[in-house]
Amino acid sequence: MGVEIIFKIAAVGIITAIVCQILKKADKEEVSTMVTLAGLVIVLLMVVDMISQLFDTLKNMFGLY
Amino acid sequence: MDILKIAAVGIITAFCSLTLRENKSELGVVVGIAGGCIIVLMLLDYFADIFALISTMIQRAGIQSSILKSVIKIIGIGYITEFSAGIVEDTGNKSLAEKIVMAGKVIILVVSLPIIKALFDLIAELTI
Repeated sequence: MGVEIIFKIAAVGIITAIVCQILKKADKEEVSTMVTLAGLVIVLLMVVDMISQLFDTLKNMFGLY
Repeated sequence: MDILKIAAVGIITAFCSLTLRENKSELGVVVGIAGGCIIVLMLLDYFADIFALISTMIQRAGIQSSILKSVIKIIGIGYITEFSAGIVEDTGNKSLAEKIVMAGKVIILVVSLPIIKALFDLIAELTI
C-alpha cells in the first residue's frame, strides 16, 4: 500500500495509450478501442479494490453500519 | 513523519495523472482517485487515536455516549460524502457532485434527529 500502485496504474495507462496510437497508425481503429477498454478494466479492478478497502475501514472506524 | 510520505504520494500522483492526461488516456483521473485512497488510508490510524481521546473525555464529562456515537457517525458520513463528491467532480460532472453533497446533508440531518429531539425534551422539562 503505497506508491507502487500509482506507478502500476500509470504504467498500464501509458502502455495502453502507446499501443492505441500504434494501432491507430496501422489503421486498426476497432482493435485500439479494445486495447483502451482492456487497460481501463484492469486499472478499474485495482482501484475499486482499494476503494472498497477504504470504505470498509471507514465503516468500521466511524461505526456507520 | 507521515506528512512527508503523504506529500510525496500526492506529488507523484499529480505528475502521473498529468503525464497520463497528456497521452489523452482517461486513466489520469483514475490515478488521482488511487492517490486519494492511499493518502486517506495513511490517515486512518490518526483518527483512531483522536476518537479514543475524545471518548474518554466525554465519559468523564458525564455526557451520554449515544450523542458521541452519532457525532462520530456524522463526521464519517460527512467525510465519505466529501471524498466521493471530490472524485465525481474530478471526472468533470459537477452537477452529480452537488447531488451527492446534498444527499450527504440529508443523511446527516436524519442521523442528527435524535439529538435535536433530546434537546427539545430538555428545554420542555426546563420550562414546565
